[in-house]
Amino acid sequence: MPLGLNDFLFGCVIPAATTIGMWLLVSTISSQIFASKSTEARDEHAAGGLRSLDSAVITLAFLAGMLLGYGLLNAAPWTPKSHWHYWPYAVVLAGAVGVSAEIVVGRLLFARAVIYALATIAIAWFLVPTWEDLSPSRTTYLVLTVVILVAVTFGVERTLGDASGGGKTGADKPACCSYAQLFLAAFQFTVVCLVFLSGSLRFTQLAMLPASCVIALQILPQSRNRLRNLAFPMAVAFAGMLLVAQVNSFSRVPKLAYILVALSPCLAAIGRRSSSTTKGQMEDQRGWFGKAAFSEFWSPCIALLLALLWAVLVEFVLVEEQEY
Amino acid sequence: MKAQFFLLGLLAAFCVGCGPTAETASENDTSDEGTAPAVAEGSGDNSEEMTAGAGGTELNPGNTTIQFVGAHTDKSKDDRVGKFDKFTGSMEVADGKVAAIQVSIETASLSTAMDKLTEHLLGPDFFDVREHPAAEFKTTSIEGDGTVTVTGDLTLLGVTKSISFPAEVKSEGGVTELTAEFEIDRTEFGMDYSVESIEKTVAMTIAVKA
Repeated sequence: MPLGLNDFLFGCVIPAATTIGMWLLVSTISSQIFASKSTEARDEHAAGGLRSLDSAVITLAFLAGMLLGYGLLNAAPWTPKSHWHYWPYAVVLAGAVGVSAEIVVGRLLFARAVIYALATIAIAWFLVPTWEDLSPSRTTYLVLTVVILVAVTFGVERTLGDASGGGKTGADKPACCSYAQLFLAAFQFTVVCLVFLSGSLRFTQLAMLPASCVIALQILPQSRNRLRNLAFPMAVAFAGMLLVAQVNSFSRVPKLAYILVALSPCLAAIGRRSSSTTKGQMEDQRGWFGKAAFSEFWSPCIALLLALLWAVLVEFVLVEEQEY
Repeated sequence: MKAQFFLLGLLAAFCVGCGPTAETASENDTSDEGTAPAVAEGSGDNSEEMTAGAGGTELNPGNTTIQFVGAHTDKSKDDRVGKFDKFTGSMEVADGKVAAIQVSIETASLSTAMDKLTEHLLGPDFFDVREHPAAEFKTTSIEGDGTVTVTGDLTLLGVTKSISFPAEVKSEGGVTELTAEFEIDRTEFGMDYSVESIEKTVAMTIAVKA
């Protein structure tokens, strides 16, 4: 039962166009407003307010595209009746919390971790089903969900953190941007594939929604370099959908595949950190086959590929099955 | 790199502890053919309570078939046939006439000829058996003789609708046969996934010989 043309139109094209249109509109308006302010105001703005504004603008664009697509797909009632009906609300909450964290605590790591953890406890409470036969138990799922969502958020933040060039030399900047952006695309693609392998086309459509919106934002250099601000809503959208797909699945895809994919941004972030700390010690840092590329791009992508291959293997190769 | 390998190792160790989905499913699987994971006790399924009524004949997979056929809107594709392997109920017969029927179906006992189709039908796109482990039917009236009109309440996906369908009833030598073929609109019960590619109407076949 393949997805039809309308599914791609409502679930991908329109949300992506809405996201990019909204971002262009709001960012243009906000830049016009701030261009008319005094130099002093702009300096103050540049010190921290700009990041908050960027965060709000890109989050608004992302959520506008996603929610429009969700409504057009008519995938679920707006009034939640099942645990996964809370997914879009969880993404909206994550967007609001992400922007609030940027405004209130800025880049203070510990404070942001606490805020994210509190928000993910609320998100996990609604997203994790209350079925008595849930295995492992709901408590285990709740703890895992909170840990994974916070870890993925910081993983995405760290991976995309310096994509605008901060902390990198001019020579490193283009390669780092490419590694992070390409890994992000690979991550989203793998999430959609894994959700598809879970056996629900409805959830596949839903997973394609945030992926379309983020890919739209990756197209323009100006929005691409601000994707770090979307770390929390992205983590909830993708890791949250992996959770929903996994608990509802009757497929043979192993849990490890879901967890490996969800945590792959953490691998990318660790690789990013290790290649940054050894910068100058390694002669062959740059290039697609250099050590930096291996740490930051290839190794997390290998984790994605392994998870995907494993899922495909158990679903299609090890079990003989005809197409339906 | 060491940190990456450490993280992967930690994950692997945890997941081995959790155990794979398939194992969990098979542990809970009590269906006859092993195609569909069963629903745990206490999860809302009241099929055990739905036994034969006083003086009624018990309905079970041994004497009753409940089958459905889903069709693609693209008629070049074959129809898909499914059935339920676990259900309980009763049929009350008075003076050779069927007076009342009630059936409670374990939706997780759904089976088809294709495992991947079964997996898809069990999930939230269609029967959502985790959230809705039981479907029920209870007659409110049965009118006529021979070819009767059965009217009753069908509960599917938590939505109860009154449906009416014709059925052939024969009663000979203490054995009652009931055969019914009718269609229901799945979207009326909230089963509205992909109406563009899968027909809204589902053909049902009920055959009882008890």
